[in-house]
Amino acid sequence: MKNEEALAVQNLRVNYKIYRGILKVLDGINLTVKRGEKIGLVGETGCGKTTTLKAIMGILAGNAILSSGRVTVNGKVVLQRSAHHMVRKSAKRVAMIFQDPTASLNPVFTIGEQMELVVRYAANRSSSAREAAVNALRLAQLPDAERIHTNFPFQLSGGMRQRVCIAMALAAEPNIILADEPTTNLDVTIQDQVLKLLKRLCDEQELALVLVTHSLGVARETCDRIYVMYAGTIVEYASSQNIFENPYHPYTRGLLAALPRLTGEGIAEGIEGRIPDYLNPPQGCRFAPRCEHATEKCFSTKPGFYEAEDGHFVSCFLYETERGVASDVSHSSDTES
Amino acid sequence: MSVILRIRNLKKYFPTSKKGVFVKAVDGIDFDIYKEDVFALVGESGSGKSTTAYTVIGMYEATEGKIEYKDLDISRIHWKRPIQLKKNIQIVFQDPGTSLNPSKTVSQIIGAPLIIHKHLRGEKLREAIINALNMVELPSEYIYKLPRDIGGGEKQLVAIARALSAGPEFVILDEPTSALDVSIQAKIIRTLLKLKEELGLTYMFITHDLSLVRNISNRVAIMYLGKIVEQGPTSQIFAEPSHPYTQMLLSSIPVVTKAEEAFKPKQVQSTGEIPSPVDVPPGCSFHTRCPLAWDTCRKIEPQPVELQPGRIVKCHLYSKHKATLSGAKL
Repeated sequence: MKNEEALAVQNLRVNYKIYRGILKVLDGINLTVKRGEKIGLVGETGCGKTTTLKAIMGILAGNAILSSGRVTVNGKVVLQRSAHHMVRKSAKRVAMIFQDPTASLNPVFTIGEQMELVVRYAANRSSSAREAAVNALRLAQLPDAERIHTNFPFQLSGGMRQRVCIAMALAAEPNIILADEPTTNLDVTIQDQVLKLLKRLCDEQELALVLVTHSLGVARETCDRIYVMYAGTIVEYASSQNIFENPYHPYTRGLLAALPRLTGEGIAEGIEGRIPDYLNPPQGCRFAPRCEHATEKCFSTKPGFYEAEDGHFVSCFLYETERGVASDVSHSSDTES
Repeated sequence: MSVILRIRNLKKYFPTSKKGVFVKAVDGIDFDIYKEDVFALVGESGSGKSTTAYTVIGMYEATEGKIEYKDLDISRIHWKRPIQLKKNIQIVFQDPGTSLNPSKTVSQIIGAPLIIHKHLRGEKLREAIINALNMVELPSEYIYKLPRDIGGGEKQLVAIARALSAGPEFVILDEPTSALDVSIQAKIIRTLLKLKEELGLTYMFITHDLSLVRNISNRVAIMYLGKIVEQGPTSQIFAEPSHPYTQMLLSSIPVVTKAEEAFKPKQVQSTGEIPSPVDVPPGCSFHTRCPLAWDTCRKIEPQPVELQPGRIVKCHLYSKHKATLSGAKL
């Protein structure tokens, strides 16, 4: 059971059609999540973290084009490209927690009403909907669950609203939780509480968690494995311990160096330049224009994944010779549109 | 070193719809900022750190208390302040997306303070604008651009150039990097620190990011519900946090290395949430979340205790054995 794949994303390419042309956002995302595994998807603003989650959830915006790729949830294909268009099926047993709990709760219904809907339709239980909702609230460590069940969202504080969203996700009886920056709007002391809760719940109920965040610290404290994203590509993935102790990709290194440390070592350089324009992204490695190690090859060819250490994959030509092309996924460089 | 800004018993209350009920955003704070220091004001949302900044700059009128800038009492609202003072105290806001006028070019944005405070016109104005842009390491072509044409980090650099173009002595930085990514944050912070050295500026840095504070400031004040619970030199506060709230705050920070983990104080279980500033708990306002609270904490507000020169803590844990010094009022 434990080693079964809960979620697999293969060679996912998503474009957005806008007035000025086509934004080539996701450029071949591959990720797998096993049952009960907590993975982190880390990257800066605009690197495609949320688009990836939306593709998994099947809630991409209307102007999104799936140019290739496939998403498998619990062994069933929920998203793939057929001859002409994308085929979507609603994923079962997947729940999502959004960034802003205020915006993701309906202000005119009580918490109970909203949660019971989830219980009825997602978990398919109508007889004991109320009990299931209250139970889920208790699981999310909300004090006085009975009272909160009758409250409106505005009567709760930000941290409590996010707990309600977690409870609502649990009420759907998922085995995969997708969390999109769940603690970005919260204060550090509350963030700490919410993350610990999320982590404990995932461990207890063997839920797979995909945590999208821009905070490397949050990912490190919560996740087993981390995928680092840059400009619509995954540049490096490994266990959280390896990523932080031994980062390989120049982007990961730059990102880690730019973080101010609590031990006080001064402020590092940061990374020059900015994220590429998705209308006309670089041909080869998308990080090449900002990379100090870039060679001609980097500008013309997309790097595959090379295993720098056991289970530590880097998408950078610098490590090509480490173990040859030991990539677990074939990475084609041609783009279909 | 001379004190550039002295705050004594500063209070800022906002009225609510109910008569006689106030939001006590800032409730009696004291601190001094020395010349050429980076003074960090840290706290969670709703702790009153931005209100403090806006009261110092004159956007709000203080309800009570004194703000002294170089021995001059400036506790009044901005239109009653002399223009020279406005030149000397400038502010950089949190979100450059909203603090820059979207319909003005970069040259108009940076030029405004130069026209008002330095009375520059024509070619001299243009030169001064380009100088200000170069100061923050932006190319001079940027004068024709609109805020929407440039990235978030560059917008914040324009906001910094605007604040510094008039030649201030004291700059308030209200979360200047919290809307930006870490790789850009590093660049902005480096620019700010470089300019501070070159121009001999004094910063009041408002933030909720303690890791950042550790790396840039000399002195820190930690705010909780409108009060400063602990203040002192940065290195001391981070090495030995005294107030239980500071300990909780430090132990909650997600970190990325083992060295940092070892540096954090022993895990203090973070519990509860910040109460509303409308009805602040009686006694010590932190007692509802404090793991060490006892009866006294629920009834009597702790008085500030000076542990070492410049190191002030507001907590009964420390007023107990120092009762003879400051406890007369208790």
